[in-house]
Parts: sequence; structure tokens; C-alpha cells
Amino acid sequence: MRSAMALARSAKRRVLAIWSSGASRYSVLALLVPLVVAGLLAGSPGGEKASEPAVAPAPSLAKATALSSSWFCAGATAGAGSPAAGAVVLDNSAPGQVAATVQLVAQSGTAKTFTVVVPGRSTRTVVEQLARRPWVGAVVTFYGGMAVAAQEVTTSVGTVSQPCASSASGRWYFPFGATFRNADEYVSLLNPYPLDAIADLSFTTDQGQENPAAFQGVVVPAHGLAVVDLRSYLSRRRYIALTVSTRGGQIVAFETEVVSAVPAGTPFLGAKGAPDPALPAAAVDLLLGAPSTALSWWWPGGGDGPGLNETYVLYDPGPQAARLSLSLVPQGDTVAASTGGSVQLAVAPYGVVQVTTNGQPWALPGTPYAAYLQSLNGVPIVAERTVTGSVPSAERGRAALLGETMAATSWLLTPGPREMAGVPVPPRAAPTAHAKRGAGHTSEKRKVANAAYAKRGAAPTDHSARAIPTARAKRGAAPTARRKLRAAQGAHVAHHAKGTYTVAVKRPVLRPPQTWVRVLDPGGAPAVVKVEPVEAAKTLPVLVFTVSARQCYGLVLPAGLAGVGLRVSSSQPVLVEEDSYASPGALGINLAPAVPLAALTTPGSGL
Amino acid sequence: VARGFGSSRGALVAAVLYAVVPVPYNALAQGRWAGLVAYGAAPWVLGGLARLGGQAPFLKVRWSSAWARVALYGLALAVVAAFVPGFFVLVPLLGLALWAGSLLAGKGLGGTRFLYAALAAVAVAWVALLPWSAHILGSWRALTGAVLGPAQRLGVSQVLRLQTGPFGGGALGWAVLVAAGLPLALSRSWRLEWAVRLWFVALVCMALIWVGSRGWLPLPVPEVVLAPAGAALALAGGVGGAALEDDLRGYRFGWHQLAPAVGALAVLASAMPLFSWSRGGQWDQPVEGAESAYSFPESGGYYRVLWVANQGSLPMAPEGALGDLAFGTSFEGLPRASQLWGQTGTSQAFVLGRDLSWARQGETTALGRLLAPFAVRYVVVASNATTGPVVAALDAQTDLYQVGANPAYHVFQNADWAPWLWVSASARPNLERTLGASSQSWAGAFWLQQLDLSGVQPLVAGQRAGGPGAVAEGVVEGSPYGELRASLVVPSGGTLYMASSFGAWELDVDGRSVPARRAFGWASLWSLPAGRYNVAVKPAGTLGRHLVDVFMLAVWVAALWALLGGAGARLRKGFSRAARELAGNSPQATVSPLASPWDEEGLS
Repeated sequence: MRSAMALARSAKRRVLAIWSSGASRYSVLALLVPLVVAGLLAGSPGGEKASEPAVAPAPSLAKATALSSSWFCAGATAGAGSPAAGAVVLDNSAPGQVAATVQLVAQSGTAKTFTVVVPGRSTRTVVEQLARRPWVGAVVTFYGGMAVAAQEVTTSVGTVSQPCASSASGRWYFPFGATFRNADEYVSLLNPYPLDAIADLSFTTDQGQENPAAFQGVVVPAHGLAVVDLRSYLSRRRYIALTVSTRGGQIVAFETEVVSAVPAGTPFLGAKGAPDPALPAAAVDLLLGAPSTALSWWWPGGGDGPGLNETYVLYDPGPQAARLSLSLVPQGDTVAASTGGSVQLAVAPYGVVQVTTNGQPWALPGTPYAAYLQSLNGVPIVAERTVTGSVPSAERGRAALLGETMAATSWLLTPGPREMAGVPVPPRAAPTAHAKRGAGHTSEKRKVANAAYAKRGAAPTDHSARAIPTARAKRGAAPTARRKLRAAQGAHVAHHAKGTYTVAVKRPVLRPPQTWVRVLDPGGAPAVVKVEPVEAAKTLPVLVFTVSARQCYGLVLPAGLAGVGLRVSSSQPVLVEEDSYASPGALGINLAPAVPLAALTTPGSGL
Repeated sequence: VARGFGSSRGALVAAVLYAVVPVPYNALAQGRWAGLVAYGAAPWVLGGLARLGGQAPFLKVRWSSAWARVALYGLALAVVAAFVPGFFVLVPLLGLALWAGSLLAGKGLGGTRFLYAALAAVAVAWVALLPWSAHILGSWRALTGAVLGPAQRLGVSQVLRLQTGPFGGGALGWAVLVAAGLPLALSRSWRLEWAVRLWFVALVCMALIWVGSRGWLPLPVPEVVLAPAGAALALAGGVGGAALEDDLRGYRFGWHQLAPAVGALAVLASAMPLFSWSRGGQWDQPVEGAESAYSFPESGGYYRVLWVANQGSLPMAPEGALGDLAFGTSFEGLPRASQLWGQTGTSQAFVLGRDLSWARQGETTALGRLLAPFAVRYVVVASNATTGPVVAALDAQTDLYQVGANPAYHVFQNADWAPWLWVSASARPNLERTLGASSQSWAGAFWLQQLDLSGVQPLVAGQRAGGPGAVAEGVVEGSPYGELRASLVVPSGGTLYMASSFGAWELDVDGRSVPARRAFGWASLWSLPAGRYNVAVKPAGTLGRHLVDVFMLAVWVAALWALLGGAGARLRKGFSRAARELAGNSPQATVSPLASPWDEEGLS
């Protein structure tokens, strides 16, 4: 026993002796050396810096729990009989009622303020009426979330509706505008803040870069509006790209384009020896500018056909040339399958390129598709898709839509123009004159005019730009059924399900007005999409469909769902737009972006 | 402190190393006042604990004799903790690290004294700072500061080189570690024990800040935690100096003889970057401070300025946190020097933080109205990468607009602000309903954002209240920092509002106290009857606060008298007795590598 204790004592002494002679030293070194090695290997956490916040699009919906949300509308004239009569549509998708303060503003400042209560899941329309004020804007403050305001503009040549802006910016970009004998272009600058803002407008036109002195230092009064008539200093411009920048303050910019009826005998654009030509297609268009440039832009809907000209306008507002790739994604196919066409483009600094898909070897005539534009050299740009409908197409008019930059799982579609939804509306001020104009043209004249207008956009008009068709374009890849349908003049083809094609529009068969919902799933997983009406009062259908990964899908809304506010929810982030077409032969095309609600993500470059 | 290790060369090395660690320069560059205070205090805090621990070569004093020393240490700690409350947490952690280091060095039982001494000293400091300390201990965030965000994330190499800002990077940043690492390779006896303890302290602090910088643990600013690490490394360098004098001769000829050259080179190399850091004398600080943010006006009514910045860039002690940002309010323009002291989180701070959070999440576009009850007229946000989302959120508010031209600050003016002290007609639409609702709740805020307070009538000292449509008329005198008096004519009655905590101020009308009502759940509101009378608004309960102040002053004086007077003699007696007890352990004996205290415990 004693010897055992002695042994234990001896062992303890030995352990302590070993410890004292350096074990503690080595234990600390054992901790320290790996740390130093790790530190040397890891270096500084360069990638751990705070990332830049994603820039939300100008219209985006506030959450249901929000205390308040503000919307800024402009681009309309005051009064029911005015040239571009405005109304603000307040769409409340929340279940409970929302109070809204509507401030109507004119060039002199706030003119009228009133409160509107919008019941849950319903819509209210406020006519923008101000005595002796030509132009009007509106600042709408909802005391709650899930509500959106849309600006509606009604003219003698149609009605358009666009979501208002939910945020102001120090910069706004408009890729395309034009001024002709019958085409007026107005830029409305709305200042929702209590301090005056000063804006400078710089242009790129077919005559180069232009900065008219009258458009520099434009004072936008606090809670007020400034409207610039581009034709006053930039007349007869085939295209006008515009950058609005402020000196400190933040504003909201809308562009209103009105192409009025043409007097008989007036030469159209493209006619030889016409010093002051006119545009052939009467139309009205309203566009909220892009508050920022981006490296990629998506359009969930796209398509062209005889008489239906589609042009992508690419504007590089910066000092570096941009190299771009424009890809078309046919409905039901993926880029991976290479059935869509693509083209590479170069845009000079501060330059504009217009790419018309009609007649291009890489295009997909008669086939609905989505479009994806990507900057290949990291130079951000702004891009817009314009659609012009004239004979022989069933569609009439012109509309423009900026590309979308963000995907989301929840979207709101504001109510579109009522006449495009087949909802009876009182006759407008000058529908007869328009009908007469349409009847007065011979079909031959119309063909010539349309060809001339189409030619304008058929190739890049900027001499510094060039279109480079790529080997990816495969025209022969379209299925036989689609090819047959394409042969039918004026057909508007929709792909409803695999292998099933429906002729949505086919001359001379009359169809009612149509509203399309286009959805693009840019991700790698299929999205289950639900489209339901915001309004609770009516018994309306709910649509559920699946969009395959990296595919687009479009469907015509059934009666009842067109012209009302819609909520689109998806299991995966998607992009959504709404296209409305008036009855065949009637004026009116409206392309409207959906307003995202939640889970905004930057789509990957999988497309 | 380093002289306690018995080597003047070691003390010199420690002093040089502590001077060249990048902690204070990074604190200076980032405007972190707490980091500078911590850097100044860390050697004394660590040295005090080392002495109280009583491990060789320091004398071991019995607890019965050491209480005065603990009390003195606690009072000194109170002074530091008044500026850097994080030391309430940090000192026990240092005690724990020293104990754990002792365990590693084979001195576990003796090492518990470090922990006990640290806890006792913190208790003394906490009592000495009452009643403020009682309040601050209630909130972990107030104690430690805001959680560090992704912008302050530090990598392993940065933490090891104590690089919390622009200074300390590069290869020469490792030289401090090399110099401090020498005693681990070279020393013996108590010097090895201390090298292990000090390295353990450094590693614990580094590990804490590595975790804290990822937001996993609420910690004070990095420099506060890394200052003790820097002190520990410098002291380890000092121990290395002592080891070169005493331990090197015990080794046979070999690589150990290279240690002096390596150590000297490391100390020299560690000092080199200091010359480049000090070039220009700016220490990477911005050219202008908060005083140049904006020329705040002195008219229109009393108002507050809400400051939002990184914790280090805030020109005051934070009142609350907004993610990894901090905020605070100042009265009538720039903050006062007294606001650099730790402020406590109040219910107002909670509401302000929540309002800012709503704005940042895009859930309101009427932040100005939400801030109006606080009399916030300006919101100042320091410009940097982390404040970008807040600036964007404030830009989206329709009642805020940017003023000022200093690019280092975004100054937003609140178009819907209301003054700190105002009167209003009671019959104002929505006023009574909204005043009655608590703005601390979502519903209260919902009603508040629909209430326009911009038309209320301010009361300002030195100005005559009145004018067309005025609720009250008369002359106001006094100061908002003391008492405001007025002789008022209120034709049809009204409501008097003050944007200060409920109960903090009281109103006398013709000498009689008028009970206050709670407005917005936290502010003070009084009903003014119709008529002509004298009113006085003054801080409430000042007598009680003054009594507490006097009592605490008396406690401090008594404690210092007891420690430095009668008790001091007992302390000295205790030291003499301890010295006699350790007569066998003369300093000469303890510094010998072959005759250490361990040797006396029977190892040799």
C-alpha cells in the first residue's frame, strides 16, 4: 500500500516536473501557432464587407403591416375633357379598408387635398380635376400597406394606365421618345418633397447629344410639378433618349407621348421629300422612367407579327460603350435548348440602339416569347420594349414598357384601362374623327406607311451601333403547328399547354378586347403561379398554372378578370407583366409592369 | 506595471510594444472614445489584477489585509467604467482568463485569487457608481454597446494583429506577436507562468472580438476588448525581457542564444509602422467633425437633433441601437460634452429606434410625423457604407428633406416637426385621440402619422408668445435647461405639451401644481384652463436626485478617507506582515530560474 502511494506521489511529481519544464509552454504554442497559420492563410476578410443593398424598382408595394406608403403620379392633364385627362386609380389589396390622402399638385404647388377611404380588396378612382391648370400630378399617401396607385390617362386616341412611383430619385432615364408633326412628347417632373428641386435634362437624339438651355435648371417647386414639352426645342426628332438628373433633390419623372390623328394627305415618316412627316399610328403612351441603370433587363412578354412591330430600344447613358446580348425565350422552350434567337449588340457611350425584331433572322415571328437583355462588359444601361400595331395587325396603337430587373414571389397588377377589358365606358370626346381617319386611308397607303414606320426601327438608327446576329438563332426550330399558324396573316399565337396552340387573334375574326398576363420564371425550379382578383365583392375565377424553370408563359384573362386589380403569387421568384389590347381595329395597347410586393431577388443569369 | 517583473529592460520592451500596438490609433481614426479610454486603462486594470492575484513575483497578501487594496482598485475601476461601462463585464473575464492561464501553467488553486479579486473590484465599482450603475446593468446592450455589424467583421489575421481599423495591417503587424511570443520559447519558472497567463488573456480577448465582430455576441467596440489583449502582449514582451536576463544563461549554446537578436529585431520592426501612421498627424480622422455637420438654427422653438451613425462615429454615447448602428439625440443643435457619458435606454429611445426601423424597412413614408412628438427637427446621418440604407430610407420620407452641404453628413430637416414645448387648442382635430394613444404601439403610431403637429404654437424663452390665432399670449422667460416661466393669457383654454419623459417635469399655475397627463404614452401634457395666470415649468423631483448625488458624494469621500487614512495604515501593516511571511522568498531568490517558488513547493 505504502509503495503504491509512494509510486503515485512519484508519478505526480514527474507529471508536475514535466509540466513545469515546458508542457504549459507547448500548450499555449499549440493554440497560437494554428491561429497564426489560419490568419496568414485567411488574410483579411475582403469578401465580408457589407454588400450593397439591392435597388428596388420605382413602383413597389409596401407590406401589409406598413404604417403608410406613398405613391407619386404624373403625366396627365387636369379635367375630363382635357387632352390627356388623368385619373388616379387607388387599388387596395388588403382585406381591411385603407384611408388615403390624395394631394393634387399643379405647376404652382399643391392645389387640392382630400381624403379617400378605399374599402378592403376594392378600387376607387379619383378624377384629377383642377380648374385652369393644364397639367396635374398626385401624391397619394395610403395609411396602411398593400395598396397601390395607378395613373390613368385618357385621350381621343386611347387610354393607358401605369402604376405610379413609390419612390423618388435623383435620376430618371427614358430610352425612347419622338417628336413629329402629330407626335408630342411631354416630360412631367413631380416633386413630392417640401423643398424645391432643380432638374437638368440631357438628350441623345438622332442629331446627337443635345442639352437645350431651356431644359437646364428646371425648377420643380416643392410639392409641385414641372412639365417640359420636348417638341418646343427638339422638334422632328426620330428618337429622343433622355436623362433627368437633379441637383440635390429627388423627383419623379413620367413621359407622356401623344400621337394624334393625322390630317388627310399628310406624308408619313419615311416618305420621300417630306420635311415634316407624321407618324402613321395614332396612340397615347405613358411611361414612368427608370430610376437607375442595370446590367440586365427582362420582359416576360414579347412578340411580333405582320403589322405588329416590336422594337427594343437600348440606351447607354454612361461614358463607356456597352456590349449587350438580347435573347428571346420562346414560350415552352428554354435558352438551354437554343430554340430562341439571340443577337449581340454594341451601344456607344451616351448612344441609343433600336432593334426591331420584325424580319430579323434571329427573331421568332408569330411566337410569343420573353426577352432577356444582358450587359456583357459590365456597363449598365436602360432598355425599353415598344410595340406598334397597325394594319394588317388587329392591334392599333403604340405602347412601351421598360424592362424589369427584379423577380419576386408576390405581385400586384393594377386595373388596366376599362375599354380594353370589354367594360362599357362612355364615348370619348373624338372617337368619330378617329374612325373616319381610319376609314379614309386606302389599304395600299396603310401598307406603305406601315412599312416606312417599320423600316425606321428595323435596323439600328445610331450609326455607332451595329447588330450582330449570332449562330444561336434557329428559325427552323419552331414546331410545325406553330409554323402553320404563323402563316396565317395577323395571327396572335398563344401557347397554353404543351403542344396546344390557340389562335388568340386572327383577322378577320373579331375578338373581344384581350388582357394577357405574362409570367417568366428565371430560376432553376418550376413556379406554381396563382392569379386571383383583388376585389372580394365579385365571384371571379382564380387561375393556377405552372411555369417551367427558365420558361415564360402567357395567358388571356377570362372575362371578369380583365380590367380589375389582380394579385399574382408564385412559389418561386418570377417576373410578371400585363398586356392589354383593345378590340381589333380599335385603338389601344397598354403594357403595364406588375408591382412587386415581397421577396425581391435579382434573377440569376441562367437565361 | 512591467517593472514588477524585476527587469528594467523588460519594462522598456513592454512600454515600446504597448506604444506601437495599433489599438489606440484605430480608435482615434474611427472616433471611438471608449477605445482610447480602454487603451489608457488596460495596463493598470491588468496590472492591478496581477498584483491582487499574489502570484510570484508579486507578494501574496492575505485577504484580510488586501480588502483596502481591492477597494481602491474597485474605485479606480469605477472611474474607468463610468466612461466605458463594458469594463463591468471585461474585468471579470480578465480574472477568469488569468485563472484559466494559471491552470494551464499548473497554478490552478492560487489562480482563483485573480477571479475573486476581479469580482470584488467590480462589485465595489458598481456600488460606487450607483444609482447610474443599477440602471445600466439592467440592459446588456447599454452595458456593452450595439452589436457589431458586418462592416466591423474582423478576420483572424486582423484580430491577431489587433487591426481594428486602417492601422496595423501588413507583415510588420506580426512583429508584436513575435516579440511577445519569445518568453513562451525561452522563459522558465514564474516567468513562464506569467507568459502563459498573459497569452491566455490575449487569446481570450481576441477570441471574444472575433466572435463579437460577427454579431454573435454583443460586445463593446473592438478596441475596448483588444486593449487588454494589447496590454497582455506588451507585458508578455516585458516578461520576455526578464527571461533574457535570467533564463538565457541557463541554456546551453544553441538556438536560444538567437533570441535576443530576434526579440530586438521584432521590437524594432513592430515600431516601424508607427512612423508611417503618424505621418501628417491626421491619424486617418475626417478633416471635420460633427460640429461642421450643419449650422443649426436658434429660432422657431426648442428642438432636438437625432444623430444616427456607427457606434464609434456617433458624437455622443448611444441612446439606442438600430441594427449595427447607434443613435442619440441632442437638444438645440450639437450634443453637449456630458452626453459623451453613458446614456441609458429609455422608453423614448425604444420608440425612436422602432420608428427608424420602420422607415428602414420601408413601412412608413411619414417618419417626420412619427418624430414630431420628440421635437426632432433634424436627423443627421454620418456618411459611410453602413449608413447607406438608412439614408435611402430617410430619402423616401415625404416629410423629410435634405439640407446642408457637408458630404460627411446627411442632414434631413423634418417638415412636420413640432417644438419641444408647445400649446395648442384642445379642439384640434384628431389631437386628443392621438395624444391619448401610445405611440409605443403600432396603433398609436398609425394615428400619430395622420396627425399634423406643424401648426402648434411654440413657447420659447425670451420671445413673446402670441400673434394672430394664437392659443396663448404672454412673455416666456427662463431656460429649458432650468425653469421656464410665463405670464399667459389663454382665451379659450388649451393644451400644453412637453417632449420630455412623463413625470420628469412639473407645471405650476399660479403657484399650484397641476397634474400632468401622459401623451403618446411617454410625454407630458397639461390642460390649460381659459384665463390669465402665471405658469412655471420646471424639472420634477430634483430634490430627490440631489439628495442621492450628495449621498453618493459622501460615500465616495468616506471611502477615500477610510482607505487613505486609518485603513491605509492597516494596509501598510498587512503588507509588512506579508513581506515577513515571504522573507524566505526574497526577490533575488524568486528571479532565479533554478530557485523559483515552484522549487520550494517540492519540485526540486
